[in-house]
Amino acid sequence: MRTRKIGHYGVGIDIGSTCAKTVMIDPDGKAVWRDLRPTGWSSVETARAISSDLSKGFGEEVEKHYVATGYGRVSVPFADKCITEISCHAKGAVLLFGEKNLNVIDIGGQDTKLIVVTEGVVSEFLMNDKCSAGTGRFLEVMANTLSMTPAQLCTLAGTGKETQISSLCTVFAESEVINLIGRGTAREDIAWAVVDSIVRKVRTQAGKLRLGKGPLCLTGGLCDFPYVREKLQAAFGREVLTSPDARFAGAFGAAQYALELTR
Amino acid sequence: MADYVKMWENLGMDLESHDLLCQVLPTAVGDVFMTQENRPKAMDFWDLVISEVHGIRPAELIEEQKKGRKVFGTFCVFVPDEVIIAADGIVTGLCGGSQFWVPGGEEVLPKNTCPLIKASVGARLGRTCPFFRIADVYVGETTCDGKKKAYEILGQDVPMYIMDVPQMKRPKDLVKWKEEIADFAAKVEEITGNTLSVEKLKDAIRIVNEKRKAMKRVYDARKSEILPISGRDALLMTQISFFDDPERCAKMCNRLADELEQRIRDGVSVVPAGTRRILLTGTPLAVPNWKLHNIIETSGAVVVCEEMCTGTRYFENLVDGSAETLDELYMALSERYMKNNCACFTPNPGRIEDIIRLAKEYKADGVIDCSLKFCGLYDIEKRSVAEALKAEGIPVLSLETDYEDSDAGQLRTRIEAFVEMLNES
Amino acid sequence: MIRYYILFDNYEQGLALHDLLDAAGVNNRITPAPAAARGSLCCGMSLLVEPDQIERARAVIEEEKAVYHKIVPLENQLRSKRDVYC
Repeated sequence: MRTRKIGHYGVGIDIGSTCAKTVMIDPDGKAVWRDLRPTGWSSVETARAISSDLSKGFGEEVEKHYVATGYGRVSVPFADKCITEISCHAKGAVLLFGEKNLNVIDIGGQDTKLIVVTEGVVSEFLMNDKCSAGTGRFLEVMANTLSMTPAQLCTLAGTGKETQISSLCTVFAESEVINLIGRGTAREDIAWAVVDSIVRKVRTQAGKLRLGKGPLCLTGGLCDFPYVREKLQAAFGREVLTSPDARFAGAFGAAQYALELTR
Repeated sequence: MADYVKMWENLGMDLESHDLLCQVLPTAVGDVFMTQENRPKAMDFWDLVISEVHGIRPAELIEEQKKGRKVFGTFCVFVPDEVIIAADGIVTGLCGGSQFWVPGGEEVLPKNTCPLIKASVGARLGRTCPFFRIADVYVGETTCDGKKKAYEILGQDVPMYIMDVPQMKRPKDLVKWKEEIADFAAKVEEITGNTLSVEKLKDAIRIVNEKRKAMKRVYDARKSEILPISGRDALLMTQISFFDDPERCAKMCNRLADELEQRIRDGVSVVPAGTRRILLTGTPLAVPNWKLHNIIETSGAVVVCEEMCTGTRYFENLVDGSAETLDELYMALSERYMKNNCACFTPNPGRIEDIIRLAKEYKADGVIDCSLKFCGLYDIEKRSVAEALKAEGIPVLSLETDYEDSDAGQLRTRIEAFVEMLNES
Repeated sequence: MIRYYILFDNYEQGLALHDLLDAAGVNNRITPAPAAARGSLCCGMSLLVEPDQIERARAVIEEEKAVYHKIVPLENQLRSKRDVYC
């Protein structure tokens, strides 16, 4: 068994609408455990399973403090504190990107968030309204209609050519996609239109707040797709940063908050 | 209590549906009000009124109708109560604040109509609200498009009189509103059979001014760092004031204000020191709409003021009752009512000035600007409100909601995040 | 946690007991009678009494011969974050 730092460890559990992300950081803030799994039908069961898996690797010898975030944050019975995903994504992005002034775009399963971080704290934020246009859910619905995974759709979109669908409403957009299929439009072109619709929606939302000076950082489930990042860069006319850990940003922030609870 | 059933039957109400409504009220009142610690004792009056909301006051109104008095149902803070009171009429508010009535409204209105309008129409057509049954005549007004067209539908079922509210605030608009008030006075005389006199109108102006002053005393107490009353309780007081007899309302508000002022002297606050203070602005919160206040006040913050029709717009500014002719008094009424800064006016800089002034007066840490879904007027105005507040360095959160419970989780996330932001800054 | 709801045939009875309890320093609050407690009675007020006050409330009722319909114990009805509105 390798030697472990003595002291308090921070565990951040981000229960999103699609995936549950967990990060444990050691007293120095270094990630020592990461976990990603589907949220499933019960946030409480998922949280218990995460805790049990975590205890297998890290038993009683490390003192763990838990902060839960994400829409299922209230369903983590052992959490020391619940903090919203806005604050956690902001804190996580500051850690991951090493910048105190930045703008976070988080395209999540149910919500798309835009967060302006100034001197390390949230100064303004915006979330989408009830409609799921411009969220990961929209992408899932469209991928399903096209018999693909979201990852396949985002990759294929890079080879498509300009095609229009509505960016207003998931339900309307789905029938538009069905129309395009009926007209024999190529699958890559429809995929292009789907990604374009998400990016346009996010860009329009961003118009409602004043983005800060720092870089744009993409977190959440879509950060793994280079084509989405490329399209966002084009839409915003500035560089969009991402990181392999960006989909854990909320969990990182929560873990950091958990560590701070001990101070 | 069996008397109420007989009364509701006589009013032609749908008793079975109404019973479903009666079943949900106790849960909401319990969760929103009874979970609070250390409420002002004087709130027992409003606890009683809300517990017997379809009993005590409706029975009083029916007794007065038996004596020949007429009940006027209104939907807007622009309709001058003074004129009705001066002719010995009775005013009751009629705005629907419950999701229970929305499906009934959607049967005759487009779905993308604001929930307040859908609920108001649903309450009338579904025959599940005694106030909507009792009112002899409804007084509508031309504030927003949704209401204008909904009044046409209500007008097929109940006598309806419409006042034409100006949409701008030029000097000639004040004269126009004065003329509308004079026309309305003639209509009120016709309906009540009573003639207006200078003396009666001056007396009515005094009565309503006293009510405004009493409500303002309660709100003034909320400016204190030692917060003697929660936003939920203050909102309930305001909501009920639209239905109550104005003199009793003033008496009860003054009784509450006495207690609140004593609490401030004694250092009794309903929240821990440092709790973030929120000014809420936007569309009205008609009874029993308590969702937003409850979510804010169970997310680590407290509502200290409502810049809305169910708030400061209802009681701010008094009517100058010193004139000696009816025409001059109508002008004095017009001047007071036209100080209301509703988003139906263009341009509407007064509302933004009010929000900034109130945020400072009530020492708000942040502003939440919330509109009812499908209210284009307030939704569009959010941008200017947010810009102005940012320029003043006052944090603002813009929200949109309706009467459904289903968005409570999303609202909680946004509001908790806003409170976390206020706490970290 | 069990709380007690005192029900009445009319609000005059309820207000009378409310005043008596207040005068005796027994904490009690006016609230709509929960559907679960109400039975056949239609909507109306009740007095909500916490468990540590109920014996004193009963004593006041006995002493003052106060009129009421019944006293109903109910498992916790109050949840501030339930988010069920009306």
